[in-house]
Amino acid sequence: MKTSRMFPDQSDIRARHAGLVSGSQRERWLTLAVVLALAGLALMAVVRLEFSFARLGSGLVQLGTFLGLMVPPTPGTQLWALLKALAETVAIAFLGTLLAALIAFPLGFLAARNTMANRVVRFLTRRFSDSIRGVDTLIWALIWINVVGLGPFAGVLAIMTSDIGSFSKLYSEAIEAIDRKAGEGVASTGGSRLHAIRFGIVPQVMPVLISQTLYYFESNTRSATIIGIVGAGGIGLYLAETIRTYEWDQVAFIILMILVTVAVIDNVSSRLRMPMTPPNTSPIASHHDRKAALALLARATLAELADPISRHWPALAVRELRKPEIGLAMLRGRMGGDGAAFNLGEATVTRAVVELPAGQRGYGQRLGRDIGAARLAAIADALWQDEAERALVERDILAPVRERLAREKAQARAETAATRVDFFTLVRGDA
Amino acid sequence: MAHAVPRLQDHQVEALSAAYRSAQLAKRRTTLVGVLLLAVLILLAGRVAEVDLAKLWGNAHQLTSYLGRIFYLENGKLVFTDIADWYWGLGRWLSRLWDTLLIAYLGTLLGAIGAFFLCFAATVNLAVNPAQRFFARRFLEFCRTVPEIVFALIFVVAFGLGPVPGVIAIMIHTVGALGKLFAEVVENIDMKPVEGAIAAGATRWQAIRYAVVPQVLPNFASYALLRFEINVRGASVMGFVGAGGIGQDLIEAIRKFYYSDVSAILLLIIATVMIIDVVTERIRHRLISLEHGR
Repeated sequence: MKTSRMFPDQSDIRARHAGLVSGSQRERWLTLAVVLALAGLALMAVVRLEFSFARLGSGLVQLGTFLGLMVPPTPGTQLWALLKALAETVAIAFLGTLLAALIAFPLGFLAARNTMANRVVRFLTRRFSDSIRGVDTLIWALIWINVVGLGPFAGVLAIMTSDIGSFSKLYSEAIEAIDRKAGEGVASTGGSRLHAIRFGIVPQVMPVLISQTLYYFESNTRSATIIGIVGAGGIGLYLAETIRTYEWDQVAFIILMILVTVAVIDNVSSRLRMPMTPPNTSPIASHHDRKAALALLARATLAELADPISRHWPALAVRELRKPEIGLAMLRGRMGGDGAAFNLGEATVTRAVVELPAGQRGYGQRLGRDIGAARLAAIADALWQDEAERALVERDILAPVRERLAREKAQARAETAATRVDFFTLVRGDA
Repeated sequence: MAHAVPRLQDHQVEALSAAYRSAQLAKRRTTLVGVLLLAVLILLAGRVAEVDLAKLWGNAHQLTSYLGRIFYLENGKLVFTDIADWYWGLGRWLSRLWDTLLIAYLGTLLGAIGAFFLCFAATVNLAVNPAQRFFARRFLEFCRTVPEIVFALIFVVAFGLGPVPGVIAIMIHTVGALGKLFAEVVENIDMKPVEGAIAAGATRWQAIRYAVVPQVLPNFASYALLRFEINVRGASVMGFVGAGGIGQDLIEAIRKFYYSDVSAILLLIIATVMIIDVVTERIRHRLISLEHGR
């Protein structure tokens, strides 16, 4: 056999590394026990719930007939009524979600560890939302029908009630997951607890809450399609009716309508959930470019800075806000599978801050002790901020540095590639 | 400190504060438009959904009186005073509740098995071809978009009354919901073991068995447990459409105004769901720590 030629001592290897080949005995028994328990319970369920092949068979045959009758789907004579019911369904989901969000918002703060110090209040709020969540929307619909009568309003209230439970749990989890520094900052400047919540916590959690609420709106549209089955408005009423009267072509049409509506709402809500990008007009927008420029300036050599600056701006009146100074900066690295941070060591860093007559301030920072280069880098940064000079800085200072860095990187790569060992070839080579 | 704090020059201050003002104004305008839009939508939805606040206000006492009434026995005493009378049908309800749990269990198990075999076809990294992926994804979407109770309604007609249609309905919904979650898990695996297995001559399913399953099993089990918890809740209302379980007794009690029975059954359901919630969460935490520990 081919394999035995490649691994001549298969049985020997097996014997020597029994633990690797077959796993531990205990683990095997455990797996077997779990699988047997699952299967045993399933078997018991099958017997108790009166599954039988005869029943499944005849049911599947019936189902096949129904499927045949479902094509082509038609709205029958009630297209208008169906559309109205569909609008009602979406309205129920929308209002129910919104009301639930409004009510659950304060509850979320009451149930979160970092905003509610009182354990009793927290415990009561949590158990309250848990028991509300334990009851299905359909049951709530039945209860609300007793209060406001049959119709979509009962549906709105049912969706609202069952969502209050879910939302206050989700919201409190989101609130507990935030960065507490912002709230502490507000408190340290003399803000009250409510101020800390309003300005330190709410801005952080709002996007999360909105996106979760939108997600629920989508799933509530699905729930709203069925509460009509018990008489709480929406398209479910028609669905249950047409199923009971065996009008399968209309059933298929209604299901298609539901699918399309859910898909549309899914699409809309996922689009709304995307973080909205701010328009490109704020002064912050240029930060990205400036960061790139500063990174290049930090790597430029003295000559690369001095030559163009003395050539283009020979008589520049620079005010030194912070004279070039040399100090140490701690370098942190991340390594290992979990990316834990560790201190690599300290590096010498030189920095300088200058101001031009027009008022722009430039910052220069670089590794090493080159005082002159740090000062020139700061000047170049200040010049870069002047819209009129930027193009010149880009062309004569930044572009050459960028080219040199790319060249050096390519060379380093080429050198590394030359010494690369292709392990794959090595293994396959003598086979 | 000897350092003087440098001040920005006036024209700079002006430019910056103008930028701040305009940014703030733009933000306020967006908020205002959003609020107005929301208000219009609320009014529109309120009309369509026949929201009648006067009716709610007028009937609000009915909710409290209803909630009050379900805690009184026929003879006018509070339920807590006579537990035996309150839970007169405990044996029958517990048996129905056990049915409900079994419906959820069997539906989840069969659904998870189905989702397992379908999920690989719906992934970017393990589907045989884009066409297969497309159809697998659409099928899963269909399964989870149609609510399980709608499937149950149809299956009750096809398979007859009883728990069988409930199990099948839950199974189909579970295939859709778990299939999507499973596929997401599979898409996040480390592909190196798969490549290794295939390089050593494994077939697709062999590669899945030896290179994918060990990576995803804890996550799969955790999602299946989460689904079981959701399905218990879903199975509790299957009886509303005649598909077995405790829902049958509950809807009967609500419809026929057996007030104390309503509270008794509801509390049973809530307690069961909470216990399952806690137990599955424990197991899930262990499973997840198992995965992180490897």
